[in-house]
This record gives sequence, structure tokens and C-alpha cells, in this order.
Amino acid sequence: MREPMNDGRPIFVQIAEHIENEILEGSLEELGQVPSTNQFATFYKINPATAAKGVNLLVNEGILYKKRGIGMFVAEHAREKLIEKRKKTFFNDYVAAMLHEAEKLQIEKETLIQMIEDGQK
Amino acid sequence: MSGFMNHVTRKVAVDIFWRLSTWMAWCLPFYIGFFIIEHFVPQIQIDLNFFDGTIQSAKVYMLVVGIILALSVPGAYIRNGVTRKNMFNGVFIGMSCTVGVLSLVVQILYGLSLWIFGNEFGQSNGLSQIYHNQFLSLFLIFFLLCVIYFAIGWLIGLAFSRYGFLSGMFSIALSIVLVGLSEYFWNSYMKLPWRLDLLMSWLPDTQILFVTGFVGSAVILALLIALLHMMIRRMPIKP
Amino acid sequence: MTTEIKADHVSLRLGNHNVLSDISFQLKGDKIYGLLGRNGAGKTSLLSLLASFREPTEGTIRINDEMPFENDRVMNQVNFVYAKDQSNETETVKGMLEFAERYRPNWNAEYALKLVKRFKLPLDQKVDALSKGKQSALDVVIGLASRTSVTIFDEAYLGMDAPARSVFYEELIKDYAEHPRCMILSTHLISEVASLIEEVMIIDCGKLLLHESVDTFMSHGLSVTGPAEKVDQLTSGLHLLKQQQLGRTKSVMIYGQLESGRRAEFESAGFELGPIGLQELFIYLTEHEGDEE
Repeated sequence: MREPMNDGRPIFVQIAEHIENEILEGSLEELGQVPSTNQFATFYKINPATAAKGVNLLVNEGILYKKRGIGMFVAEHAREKLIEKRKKTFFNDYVAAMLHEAEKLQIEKETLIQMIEDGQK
Repeated sequence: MSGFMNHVTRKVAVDIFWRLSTWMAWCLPFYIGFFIIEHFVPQIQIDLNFFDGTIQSAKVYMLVVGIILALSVPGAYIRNGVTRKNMFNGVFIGMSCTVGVLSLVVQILYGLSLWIFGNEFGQSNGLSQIYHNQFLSLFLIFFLLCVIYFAIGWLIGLAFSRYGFLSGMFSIALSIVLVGLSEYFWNSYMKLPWRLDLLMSWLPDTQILFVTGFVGSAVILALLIALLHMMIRRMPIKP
Repeated sequence: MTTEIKADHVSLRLGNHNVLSDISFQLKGDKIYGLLGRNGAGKTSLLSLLASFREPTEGTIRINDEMPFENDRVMNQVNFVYAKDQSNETETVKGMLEFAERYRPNWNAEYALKLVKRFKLPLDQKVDALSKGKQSALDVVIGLASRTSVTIFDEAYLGMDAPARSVFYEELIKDYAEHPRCMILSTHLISEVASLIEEVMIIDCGKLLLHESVDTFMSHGLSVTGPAEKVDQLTSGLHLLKQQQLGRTKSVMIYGQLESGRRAEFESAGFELGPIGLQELFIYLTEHEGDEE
């Protein structure tokens, strides 16, 4: 797993993002059980309250749901929801930054499109 | 819970009893061995019988053990969440039990030595001659003096470790007076280094009754315990 | 029952020296707290008051609504682990564990042995023959296995190498997750514990500088980088922890809650915004004039 928790953003956000990635990449399946907050806490050596905060972020978004006394599970259609959500931020997070950098380097629009096409092959 | 002998006090007492008894058990055989060798080698001039010799060594031993424990024991217990009061009560109860057992063992060995060797060192004017064949008196005297010397060890140890050098020196001066008085009550002749015992020469040279000695010693012991209690009650521990 | 520690106007004077002055705080609940402060700020003194090693000169400390000093019920539930001098400790590792077991009501012997194995402690060796790192590990084992409702680790890792410290943090979090209790970590290695603690207290020169949840505290720090004149213009009047300039680019560290809209203003000005780490925040907040150079 990736080295966590040191990119400067709040740790609970990183935890939530980590779970999101697991769902998107398929390591966590829909309706499957998610590790407990204590397991997250122990694994990443972070405070359990912080781990819980990250998990709750996803519960509020309807990505995860709680089964009382059993644990936390991935919601139905969670993957779809995440894809929708990430698509919305994709432009800001990746495209805008790329365009900014391309401008600095005076890369033409056509070259840029060519690069994307090459990259997708 | 807050009684005099709660379960924590009892645990501390048991700890201290076993620790002191183990040390004692290591020392006693050497002491007995020395006494026997001394008896068979005529070149060694001895003027003390088993009891009078043992009580001198036991007092010094208790003083030293008292100082050592005063330096290490309070910190170790307080760090493990034991209150000062439980620690102090436990130490003194445990120590008294050890001294009680030791005093009993010494009486038995003394009785044996009289039976085997006879009262041949009776020339000395030690306690065993003053209270000849009064085993209960000897038992009590041995017990009281050992406990007093242990308490004095604690006084010196705590004064040095808690209040610094000057107070430590003062505690030694006070100890000499208290030791002098305790010995005086039992008509024993102190042998202190540098003739410090001369400090006590103002005391009248008279035969003192057992009851007077007993009460006097008890008062000194009570005074010492009160003093130690005051020092320990709110004693800070350095991290 | 969760633990609550309350300090009310606590001061400590040692000789003529004011070690702690007028400290008040409330630690509510079984959380992991970080106590930060520079050398001589009074961390250890404050912690030794909680552990009943001494009494405050003024003010009161209450643990679960009881005065801790000489209180059997409280004292056996407070464990203060610090790097003490053990160069004369002739007891064996096993003996030390048995001693703690005797006086700590919640001691878990099985867990203690598990930790002994993890830290590779030799049970029959005398403590004074152990390396400093192993001595610290033994203290940590006793601190964790005691399972006291208040467990304090004050620079407990001294002499432990990085892998051993990592084991310590791992075991601490694992055991805390299973048996939540009030834990106080006092440390200089802030970056190592930043993700472990939930609330942070900073004391400086014997005074309590702040006590906040780590998230709140971190959200008060913001680093802003941009063209010098513009940065100066837009950050004037704010609490600046540090300013640095390289060529015409200026970087400032802002501390404090920003008015709404201020952040957007920075963003639209094209500034580069970023968080400030716990350790950096601590360094700049406790830096005094004359410290530098």
C-alpha cells in the first residue's frame, strides 16, 4: 500500500480518499465489509478518532454504511457515485493544472492532444 | 480502604519483610560461623557473648539497611502508584516483622550458646548480664533498639536525599543524641567514633529500671516515627 | 467510565523559580493528548503534578473529580513513564515486571510478555546491564501493560532507535484502540506523533499557550506564497509566524482563524496556499526573540 499521511492535508481526508481509491480500483467490493476504524488506525499508526472521522465522511456521502454491531460496508452503487464525484473534480484537479503547466512550457494545443492520444494507446 | 493495614500496605509489608529477611538470612550464618571460630581460637580476645555481640552488629546493620531503603524505596513505590502513607506503613510493619523474627532467632541461638559453652563471657557488663536469663526482656530490648536504629537510618537517608547536605548533617547530630539516649536507657556503653559518646556524658551514671528504659525507648521511637511521617507525608519525588 | 482531568489555576514554584504559572485546562475523555513545549517549558513538572510526584503550590488538580495526591484510588490509576536514570537498578527485567504487576490493578501479564518479546527484552537480565534503548523499552512495556486510566509517556522513547520507536507507536495505537484510556504523550519528536494525537497542548515558559484539537490547530495555520508586494498588501494585519523572501517571491506563514472570503481572496490573487505541519507551527509559535542565530 502507498505511504500515507504526510502530504500535508488533514489525515482524515487522506483516509477517506484511500478508501475511495480502494473502491474505485476494486479492492473493496460493493456490499463488502470495510476494515474497522481500529484496523485503519493500527495500520496507519493514526489516532482511531481520526480514522473514524475519515470513515464518517464517506458514510455521510452514502459511500459506506453502518451495520449496527457488525461493522462498516460499501454501499450499493458506491463505485458509480464515486466516479461521478471524481469526474466533477477531475477538471480542476488534473486538467487545469496540466493546461497551466503546458502554457508555461509553450506546448501547443495540438501537441497536447497528440500526447493524450499517445498516452492512451 | 483507608485503614491502617489495607491491602496495599500489606503488600508493601510482605515485600519488605521478604527482602530484609533474605538479606538477614545471608548474613546470619557468617556471623554464627565467626562466633564459633572465635570460640576455638584462643588468640582472639573476645569479651562479648553471643547476645551482646549480635545486638551490636544488628544495630549497625539496621542503621545501614535503613539508609539504603530510605534512598530507594519511596521513589520505587510512588512511581508505581502507591501512596506515601501506604508505603511508609508497609515498610515499618514489614521491617518490624523481620526484626521480631530476628530477635526470636537470636534468643534461641543465645540460649543454645549458653547451653553449649556456658556463660563464660559473663565478665562483660553487656545487656545479657544486666538482664541475665530474662529472655523476654532481652527480646524486647533487641527488638526496640533495632527498630530505632532502622528509623534513624531512614531519618539520615531522607534528610540527605530530600533536604540536602546541611540538613543531612543536622540529622546526624540529632541521631547521635537519640542513639545516645536509647543506649543510656539500657545502660549500654556506646562506642561512637571520635569519642562522640562523650557528648552524652552529662547524663547521670545510674542504674535505670527496665520500665523506664522501655518507656523511654518507646517515646524515642514514637518521636522518630512522627518526624519521619512529617517528612514523608508530602514528599516530592523527582522525575 | 471515561477519564477527566481538570487543572484549575495551577502554579508551581520551586525555590524562587516559577516553573508553572496559572495553568487551567480540562482533558475530557479517553483521548490521546500531545503535550508540547520546549526544553524547560515545564512539561515534566506539569506531568509530575498529575502523577502525584508533587503538589501544586497553588491551584488544584482533579482526576475524575478527586484530588490525586495521596489518593490511593487515583494514584494506582496514573502511570507516569519517563526516561529515568536506571544505571543503578540491579533488579531483573522480570522482577521489574512483577513489581509493577503487584501494584497495578489492571495489569495484563499476557500482554506484558507479548510486548517483552516484541521489544526483544531479556527477562533474566539486570536492568542496569541493558542498553538505554532497552531500558526505555522496558518502561514502555510497564506503562502499556499497566493499562492505567491515565498513562503518561514523557520522552519515554529516549535511546530507542527508529525501528523500536515505530514498534512503540504501533503498540500504543493498537492497545489504545482496544482499551481506550487517557494517554498523554510529551515529546520533542513532534512529526512522529502528529498523527497519533487528537488534542494538542502547548506550554511555553510555564504558561499554557494553547489547548485545541489537532484539526482545529492545524486549520489555523496557512502558508501563503506569491509576489512580495501583493503578499504584503493582502496579509497586513494578520498574525504572521514567519516571513521568507526569495527574489521577488515571498512566503509567509499565517496563524489564526481567517475571516470568510479571505482565503478566496488569496486564491484569486494567484497565491500558492498550503498547510503548515504541526512541528513547524509549534516551532514558530514558541520561538522567542534572540533564539535565532
